[in-house]
Amino acid sequence: MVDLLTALAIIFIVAGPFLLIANKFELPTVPLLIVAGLVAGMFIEEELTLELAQYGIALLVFSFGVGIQFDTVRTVLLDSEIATLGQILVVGSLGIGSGLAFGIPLQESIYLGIAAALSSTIVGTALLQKEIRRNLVRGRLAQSIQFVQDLIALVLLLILSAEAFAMDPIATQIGYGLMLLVGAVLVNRYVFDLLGRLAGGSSELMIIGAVSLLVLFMSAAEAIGVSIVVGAFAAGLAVRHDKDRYMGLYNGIESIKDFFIAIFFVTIGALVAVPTVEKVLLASGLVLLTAVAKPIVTTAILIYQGYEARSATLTSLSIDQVSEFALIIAIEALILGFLEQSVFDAIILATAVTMITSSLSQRYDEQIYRALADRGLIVGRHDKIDAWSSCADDVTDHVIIVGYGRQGQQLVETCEAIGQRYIVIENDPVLRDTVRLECKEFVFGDAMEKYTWEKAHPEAARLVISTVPIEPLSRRILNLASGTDTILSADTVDSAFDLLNQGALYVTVTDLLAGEQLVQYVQALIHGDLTPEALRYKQQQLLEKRSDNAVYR
Amino acid sequence: MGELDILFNLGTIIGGAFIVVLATRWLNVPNIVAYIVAGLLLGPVTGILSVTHTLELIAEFGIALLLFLVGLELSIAKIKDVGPVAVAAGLGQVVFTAAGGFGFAYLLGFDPFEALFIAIALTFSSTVVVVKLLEQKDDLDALYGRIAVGIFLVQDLVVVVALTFVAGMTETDAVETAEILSNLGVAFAGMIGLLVVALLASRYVLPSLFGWVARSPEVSFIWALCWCFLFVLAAEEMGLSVEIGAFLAGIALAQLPYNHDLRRRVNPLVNFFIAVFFVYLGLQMELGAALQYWDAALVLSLFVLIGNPLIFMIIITRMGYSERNSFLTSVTVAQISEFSFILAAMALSAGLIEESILSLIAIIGFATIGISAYMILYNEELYEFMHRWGLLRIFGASTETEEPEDAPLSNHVIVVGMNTMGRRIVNDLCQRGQTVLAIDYDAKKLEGLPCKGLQGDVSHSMVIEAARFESAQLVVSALNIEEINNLLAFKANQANVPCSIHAFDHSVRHDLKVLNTDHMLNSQQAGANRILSALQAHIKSD
Repeated sequence: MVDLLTALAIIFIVAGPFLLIANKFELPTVPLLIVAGLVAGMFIEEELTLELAQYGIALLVFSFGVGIQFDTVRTVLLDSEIATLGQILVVGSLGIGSGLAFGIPLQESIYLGIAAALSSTIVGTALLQKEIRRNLVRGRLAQSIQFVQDLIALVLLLILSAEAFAMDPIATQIGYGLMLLVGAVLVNRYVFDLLGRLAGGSSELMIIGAVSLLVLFMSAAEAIGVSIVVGAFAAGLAVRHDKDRYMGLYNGIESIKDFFIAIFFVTIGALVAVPTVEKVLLASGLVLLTAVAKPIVTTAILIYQGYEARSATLTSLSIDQVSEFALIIAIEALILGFLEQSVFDAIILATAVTMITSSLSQRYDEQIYRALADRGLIVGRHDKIDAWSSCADDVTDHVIIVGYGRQGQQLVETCEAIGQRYIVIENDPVLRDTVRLECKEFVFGDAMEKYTWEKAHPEAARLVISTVPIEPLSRRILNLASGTDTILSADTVDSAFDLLNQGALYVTVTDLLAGEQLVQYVQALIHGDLTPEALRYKQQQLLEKRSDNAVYR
Repeated sequence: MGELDILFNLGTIIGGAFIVVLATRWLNVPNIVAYIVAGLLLGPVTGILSVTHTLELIAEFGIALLLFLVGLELSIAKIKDVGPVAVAAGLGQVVFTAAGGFGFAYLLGFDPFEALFIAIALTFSSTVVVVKLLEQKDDLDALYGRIAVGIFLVQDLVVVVALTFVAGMTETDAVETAEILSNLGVAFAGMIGLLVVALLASRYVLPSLFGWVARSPEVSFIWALCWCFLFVLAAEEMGLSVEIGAFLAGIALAQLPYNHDLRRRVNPLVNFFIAVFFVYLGLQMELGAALQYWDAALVLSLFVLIGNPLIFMIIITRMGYSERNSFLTSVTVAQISEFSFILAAMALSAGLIEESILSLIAIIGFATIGISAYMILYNEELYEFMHRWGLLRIFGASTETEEPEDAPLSNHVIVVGMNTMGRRIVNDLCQRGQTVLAIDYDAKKLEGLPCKGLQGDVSHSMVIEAARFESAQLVVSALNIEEINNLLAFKANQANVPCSIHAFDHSVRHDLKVLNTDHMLNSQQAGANRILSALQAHIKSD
């Protein structure tokens, strides 16, 4: 018998080398942890594995509860992006359908549907960090799609666990669950700060306290006959608090979470039995659905909603994997006896495979898009670009401004002030109305697209200015607008040098300029040339002047 | 739904510990003492929980993590420093306490065999207790902390020897001296082997391995745990203690630039598991049967509380350390160890001693751990007191402290994020003679800067503490990560220090304004101004 400590040791020792491979080749860690589990499974008993997996689930759901941002829920619900839920319905039905086609009973096929429809936040969003930070359309889109999916997954999990304890009618079950959640909110409101005060800023105590709450809620859930997953989520809501104020607590939860999550994914892999032909077939069916059908459906829906082809395709290519929540749902179902081992195995295998393919598809997303677009497989909606844009066909001697952010707005103001004709290129749907109201001439399309540039006529332009410091875009602009003078933006000195060498007229490195300015301020403050109050006032003035044409309310 | 016994046992332990700590907080009870009390209440007093094998393993895991943490703290140079004193004081105290303990026990009326066991049990001090307290005081890195840790590790080796002997003696059949010796041989060879592996790996293997995973903090954390487990398993295989394995694993990683960050990540896990350890310790303490020996308990506890520090004082001052550091080190040794229980329990199960002796050892353990925890937490005050009354003069040590305190950073400018902007700011400020502290997660980005660097993730409270926001002149963030920037603005505000945050996008401005940011690094505005002048120049020239 392998005891707990040895089991943990085996899990981590096996996981180590696989993680190394993951990092070396910049693959996501989750699938390699699952693969490590396949190996570790040979040494650890199933009973122990199942138990460890339960802790993992509890911690995952708990930390999801802790990290949930109610503001985000509101924004996503307000946005039209909720319509992308259509994607879940379509792909989910395809999943259920293919399960039935394999001769799997409907009850179990539902889990295949769930696996196909939901995508992974851990893998998807982690890979998109840069895009999200830059507030690019596709980063934002993918993030909110995944967030909605996580919420749906949680609801599914609650329903599933309610079904499991069907001694009482479902309504009573849900009533109990709600009671628990209300209890959590009350604890969060009235008890947590008290605990914080009692702990007197010791993060060691806060961590112990948070874990106590977790176990308390899980026991309460068990006592009233609701799944412990509900309890874990409720505990997360109870602990959820201002991160800035309880930093030590959050750091602690993070470490404990990382620890158990690694264990969780390894145990998931360890639960997979030896693959058979049937399983492999089923798994590959699921892989096809997730990695091929899902992006196609999503792209179609996004294009239909009015996003242009490139953003739609790139967004879709970042959600083409199975979600970790689907894993939790599957393992719960397996434990409860709702799911056969072979279907479970297929889901796990498909998850591991799609998480890897997804990181590849994301790495080569531009190339994939270009290949598809060049073959005409993705219909460039030129009519949409035409409909949304407003510019004359015989424009000459104009300035092309790429990006209508703050810099773009100032450029437009200046051009209008000196009577210079201009065309703005922008593609963020959020900015569409602003652009239409504020700019005389504009092309509403992706600056990576040839057609967008055809409409802007760079060959007749006086100057092209890009305010977007993204290197691939800058290169594309140099390529599409060759022969015209070009001013570009860059975020590193190296990239600026590169662009200059490739023929840019001028490249600004905005970060450097701002840095220089700060150093001057610091100098002035230290020498007493400028008082802090004066600096604050100066800044406020500037901000207020700018807030008139702020885009984001 | 499955077997969740462990979960609920754990829950009771953690919950009980939390309640006892909160309830005793007004008395300033050290956490570890509160944990032990919680264990006493849950086990011997109420009988809610009993000692199980799984709990023992979890507790053991806690010890391993704690010692791993200690190892992470120590660079090889620092260990070499304290090597001689650790060996001399460690062995000296073992001999002294064993002899003294035997004498006292014999005089108190125990038969020679019992007296021998009591003496062995009193000999060892608890590495876990001391390290936890030193860590809490942030003193592991201080000279006295390093000496103490060195001594305890030497003693841990002696424990290995003792345990091997007792295990040999308690075997059902005759003692096979040859077997014991061969076990010892394996243990020592293993220890040296592990040390060599650790040192070689830290020089040749680990730097490049961690170079690969450096960009991703979670992965390097999991990797560190993998490394730790590897050593723990190897140590167990060779009959060494889990502590020694974990400690060596930590030392190997301590030589990397990422050790601080790893420490911060391992720390919460340690807090969690070590709480289980101390509660578990309390669970084991069957105190009831010891009433008949209350006089012996009193005498022997006082012997440990006073005699042990005394012998330490004598040895350490002889080796030329200052009065202050000798005293602070000596105070740490005034308790018996969790090994004492293990040893006594082994002897009991082999029928060598009676149950009341086990209880006696438990009560001495509770008393000495409890009191010495206070002594360690208030060691500076205790020293001041003793020093003022001239009680330490008999040792004749110098009152000069050998360790010049590092002047803490103050009036510095903190620059977070060594990207293009951050590097520029750091370089310019340094050129103008400012004291600058550069922070970045990636140790490579800190190389070649003209100022002090701090490797770490600023969303970690310990990094903020290490950067000393409260005495800084200005906090600058060049990052373009909204969440962290907001956090820095909040923390700067809390510490009442002006901050300048990179407002890289108009969507982040509102939050920064709400957070009362003093200055926003306005890269877009700066860029716009530059482009505007370029545009105007271009149009004019046409």
